[in-house]
Order: sequence, then C-alpha cells, then structure tokens
Amino acid sequence: MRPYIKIIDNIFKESVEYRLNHILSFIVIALPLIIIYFLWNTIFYGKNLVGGYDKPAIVTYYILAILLQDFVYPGVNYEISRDIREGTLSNYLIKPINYMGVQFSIKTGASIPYSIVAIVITLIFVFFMRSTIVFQINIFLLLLFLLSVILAFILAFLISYSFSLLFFWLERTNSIELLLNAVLPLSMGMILPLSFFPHSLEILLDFLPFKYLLNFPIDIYLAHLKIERVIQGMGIQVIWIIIFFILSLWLWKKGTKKYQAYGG
Amino acid sequence: MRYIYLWFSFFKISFSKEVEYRMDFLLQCLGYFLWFLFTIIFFKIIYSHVSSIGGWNFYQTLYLIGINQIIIYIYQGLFLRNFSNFSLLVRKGELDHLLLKPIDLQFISTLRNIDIRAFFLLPFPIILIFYSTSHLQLNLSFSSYFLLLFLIFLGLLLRYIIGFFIVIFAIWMGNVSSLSALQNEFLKYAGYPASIYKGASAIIFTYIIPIVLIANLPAGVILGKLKNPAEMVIYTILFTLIVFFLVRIFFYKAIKYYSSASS
Repeated sequence: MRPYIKIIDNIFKESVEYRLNHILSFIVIALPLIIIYFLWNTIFYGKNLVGGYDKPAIVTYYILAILLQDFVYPGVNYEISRDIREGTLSNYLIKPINYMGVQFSIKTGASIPYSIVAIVITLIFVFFMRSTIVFQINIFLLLLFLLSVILAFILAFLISYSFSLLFFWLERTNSIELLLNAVLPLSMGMILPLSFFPHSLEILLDFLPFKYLLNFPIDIYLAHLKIERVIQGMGIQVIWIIIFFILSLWLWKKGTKKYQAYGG
Repeated sequence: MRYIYLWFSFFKISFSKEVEYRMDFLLQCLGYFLWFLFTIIFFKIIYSHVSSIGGWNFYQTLYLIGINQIIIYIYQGLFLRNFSNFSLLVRKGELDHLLLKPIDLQFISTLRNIDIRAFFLLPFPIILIFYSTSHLQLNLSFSSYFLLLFLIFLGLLLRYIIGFFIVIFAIWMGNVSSLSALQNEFLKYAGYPASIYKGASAIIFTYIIPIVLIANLPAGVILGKLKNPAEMVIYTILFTLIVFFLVRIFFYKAIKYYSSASS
C-alpha cells in the first residue's frame, strides 16, 4: 500500500503547484454554471415541471454534474499510451508494483485538488442560488449518494484503463478518444438528464454502464429513485466494475505478452 | 499584398501536411462534428418539452446554432491551432525564431497553422441555416445576406480577439493547461439565445464579456430579435476595433517581457 499512497501524495503536490490552473478552472467551472442557470431559468418560464424535474432539481442536477464530471469521466489515459509506445512501461514491469494500482493512485491524486477547487466554487454558487437548489438533508440518502459516487469513480477508472490498454494493439490514439467522446456525454447524462430522452432510449441506457457514472448518483441525491431502484442500480454498478476489472486484467495479460515479444 | 501571398503559402503547407494521414483526417473531422450534433440534440429534446425558450422557437434557435457553428468552424480553421500551440512556442523558445523574421509578429504567430478539417465541415451548419430559414418563412433581400456575412465576419473577429487575449494572459501568468477548456467554454455558450440573460446578466454578457455579440448579433439582426439593432452593430464595431488595438499593445508588452526574460 505504501508506494501507492506515495504516488497519490506526489501527484497531489505537483498539481497544487499550478495555482493559476485552478484560478482558470474557476472560470471554466463558474461560467457554465451561470449560463446553464440562466438557460434553464428561461426554459422553466411559466412551467413547474419539465421532463420530470422541477427547477431546483434541474439546477442542482447541473451543479452536481459539473462538480462530478472530472471525477467520473472515463477519458483516454495518454500516460498509458505513452508508456506503451515509448517503452517506459518496462520500468514498471521489472518492479514489484502493480501497474493498475499505479494508474489508480495517479488518477486519485490528480482528482483531489480539482475537487477542492470545484467544491469551493460550487459553494459560492450555491450561496447565491440558495433559493433554487435542492438541499438534501436525509443523511441516509447522502451516504448512498457518496457510496454511488465512489463506485462511479472506480468504474470510470476501470473503463478508462481498459480502453487505454487497447494501445497495445492500436497505433492511432485519437480513434479511441473519439469513440468515447461520441458516446459518453449523452449517455452519461452530462448534456441532459436521461429522463428527458425518449423512453425506449432510456431503457437501453439502463443496461449500459455509462448512466451509472453520473446520472444515477445525482438522481440518488435528488431523491428521484425508490430505494429498490437505488439498490438495483448499485448492483449494476458493482457488476460493471467486476466486468471491467476482469476485462482489464485480461487485456493486460494479453497486452504485456505482446509488448514483451516486441521488446525481444 | 505580401501578407496575402504569405497566408496562401501557410494554407498550402497545412493542406499538404493534412492529406498525408487520411484516416486521422476523417476521424478528427468527425470529432469536430460531435459537439455541433450534441447541441442540436440538446435543443431538439428541450423543444420536445417546451415550445419556446425566452421567445425563441425551435427553428430560430437552430438558425442561431448554425450561425454560431459557422463562426466556430472558421475560428477553428484559422486560429485555434495557433492559440493552442502558443504556450509551446514560448516554452521551447521557437518564438525567438519568429521574432527574427521581417513579418508582423501577431500575423505570423496567430495565422501560421491552418486547420483545414474545420473548413470541410462548413457545409453542415450552412445546410442547417437553410433548413431553418425554410421553416421560418423569412423573406431576405440580397442586401440582408450581405449584412449577415459582414456580421459573421465581425463575430469571428471578436472571437479571435477574445481567444488571443486568453492566450496572452496565460503566457503572462505561466504554463496553463485549462486554457483550451476556457476557449471551448466561450465557443459553446455563444450559441444560446441571448434572451436567457436578463437585467444585470444581460449587460454583463453583452457589453463586458461579449459572448452574446458573437453569434446572437448576426442571428438576432436577421431574425428581428433585437430591440435596437443599429446601435448594437455600431457598438460591436467600435468595441471590436478598440479591443483589437488594446490586445495588440498588450501582446507586444508581453513579448517584451519574454525577450528580456530569455536573454
């Protein structure tokens, strides 16, 4: 466990150094929050419910979506592609250290400073918008929400890791990123809550892993789900985590075999 | 004249570079297309729940999205790559190389790299504009098309200045990776109807952070959405000119700081 905690610590310290980045991400986070608020404020003009959400619920939805998206977006990990392409992966292969563990620690360490900045910005925003925000005071729901976010974080890491291991076979790094970027924003619920979609599409998305990265945790917070649905959803999160865990182990085994054959 | 000739050679070089990797070319075109598609889907779904957003119906919003996307694609094609490479230019000292050339520094450093993929996608927003025009029963004279082109050009110029300002600011402050994210935020929200902003926010997003002036001005003038179109156009022209020269001065100040730092 020690080396992994050390990695988390190093990455954390490294990213704290780039303070301006955080000031800029302040704008990057605050600007969409403000504009999305105005847009939905206008959409709700003269209406109480749109797509099953009332105004405080939708505003809270987007606040949480922006807050969580960096945490749970399974983008391509270019560090893995570099390690494979440039041969620096060998440094890890000869050490008694697990590569998946290393990458997970890096992701965790890098996520912490961003989360702190995002939480601070969100709190400021929440203060100004306090009349149109859902404050969840049910501790039990908050705990379930937190648990589902942690599961989503692990799932996002495993999806990102599995796709990044495809670089053992693929030369073009941008094709995978493109594929993910084409599917994720809509199917995770980043662009719209999924209940706005036509019902048939919504049912399809229930079975895919992406909804459980973002839309599902937020719906728990908003108390939009019955307790059976929450438990069922977390079950699906765990099942996808197991599937992608096994998949990534398999890809790693096949991939390193090919990698070593290259290296001679 | 010399500058036009120079620009065409930039274009030729960029073109021959791109055509080499055809598969990458297609994939990246698709990548540029995605956000455009997502925006249309977003508004299509919202308009299946409501009939109007702040007085804008679905086809008017499509028209606005089309105009905004034309500006985005030309911006990506002409400038964006130069802006995203700028920090590299500074860090690797390649800027020294450009400083030596007997060419205007702003010209060469912001127009050198042309991304021709974006131009290949231009037909899609144009089709969207014609599609929404046919549903809106607009009777446009020849001169209003001319006006539209001028206003799109103005929006593009304003977009360029905002982008350039962000880049210079970032260089002054050090290495910044959220830069491209910030660029994207400005691009994305320019396509929302201006009527969502009310009171103080309307003033801020029109006159101070002029997101509204980029695409909403051309679309608003043509669709008759503005209360005082003539004044807004004049304001935008003046604003653009003044800020253009201010940013240019700011740029040369920053460059001076750079040369003294490196020697």
